[in-house]
Amino acid sequence: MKPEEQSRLLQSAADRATRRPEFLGWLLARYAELEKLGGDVLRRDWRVSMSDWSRLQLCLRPRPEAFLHDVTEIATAFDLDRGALAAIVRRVDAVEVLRMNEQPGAPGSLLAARTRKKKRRGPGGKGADHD
Amino acid sequence: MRDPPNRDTLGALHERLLSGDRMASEELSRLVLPALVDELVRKFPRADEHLIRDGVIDAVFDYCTDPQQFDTGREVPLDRFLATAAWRNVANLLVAERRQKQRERRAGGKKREADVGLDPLARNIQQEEQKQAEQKRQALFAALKTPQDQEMLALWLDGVKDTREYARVLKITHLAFERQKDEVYRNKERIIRFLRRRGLLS
Repeated sequence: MKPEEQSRLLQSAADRATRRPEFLGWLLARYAELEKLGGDVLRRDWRVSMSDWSRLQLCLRPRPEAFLHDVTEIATAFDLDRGALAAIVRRVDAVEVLRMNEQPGAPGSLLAARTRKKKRRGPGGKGADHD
Repeated sequence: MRDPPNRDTLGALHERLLSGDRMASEELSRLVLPALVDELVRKFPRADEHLIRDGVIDAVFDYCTDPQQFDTGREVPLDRFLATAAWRNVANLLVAERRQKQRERRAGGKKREADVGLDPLARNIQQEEQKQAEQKRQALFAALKTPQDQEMLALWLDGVKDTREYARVLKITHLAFERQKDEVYRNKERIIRFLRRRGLLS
């Protein structure tokens, strides 16, 4: 496989990682959605090369039990701002928790108006069915 | 062709994944994906390369997210474990793709039939063809003078092959069968020649 084919393959893998919640690629894609960041605004803001961006997306997301350690390792390896990376992960996770806990009828949610069922009148009442 | 990844390197990456290293998945992907895709392209020469890539990438991702599924005690090297998982994924994707195409073909066939029935233009063409065929049929019958010839023609246009049917119309059923056949043939030829002369039959 030629080098350009290899980089295309890694790009494909990075794209696929955006659909797997276990990967950092998924977190970064969700964050871009939340913040309505088009294209590769985040990559350019962080001044990460295209090849490093693909590599970053292929990393697994930080574990909750070792959050600081994992974020520090990734940020150091890719020369990123640790605080910015941690903030992104926290933000996306918080929104996901809210989304998953969203219950219809909970405070703050709107319910569509529903037609009340008509009460059946008792036997002998007006409009009651007679056999 | 790309060299297969070094098994010691793969072993070390497996240990890193087990210990929770978040960047081991990236290193492993870079290391194994090109060789695996090359291998699977050779094994499935007619398959779409994108489909092969998806199957291989999914196999590597599945392993990265659950490295315990690879049992080092079974003495199967990690690269072979991943190649088998990738092969299975690609085979499943190909089966799914084939089924999808079959479903689409079946749905497409039904839709075409329905479209012809529903399309006003197609319906008009069908109606016009039916009308023309009926007019031609009426012209043929009108050209023949006797009801007997008209009945013979009706049998012929309906594709009847049985000599006895024609013999009944000609009222020659009392004759020997060989004679019936000759008479039926002669009368049919007479009618057809007459209609051809009139330019009503090609």
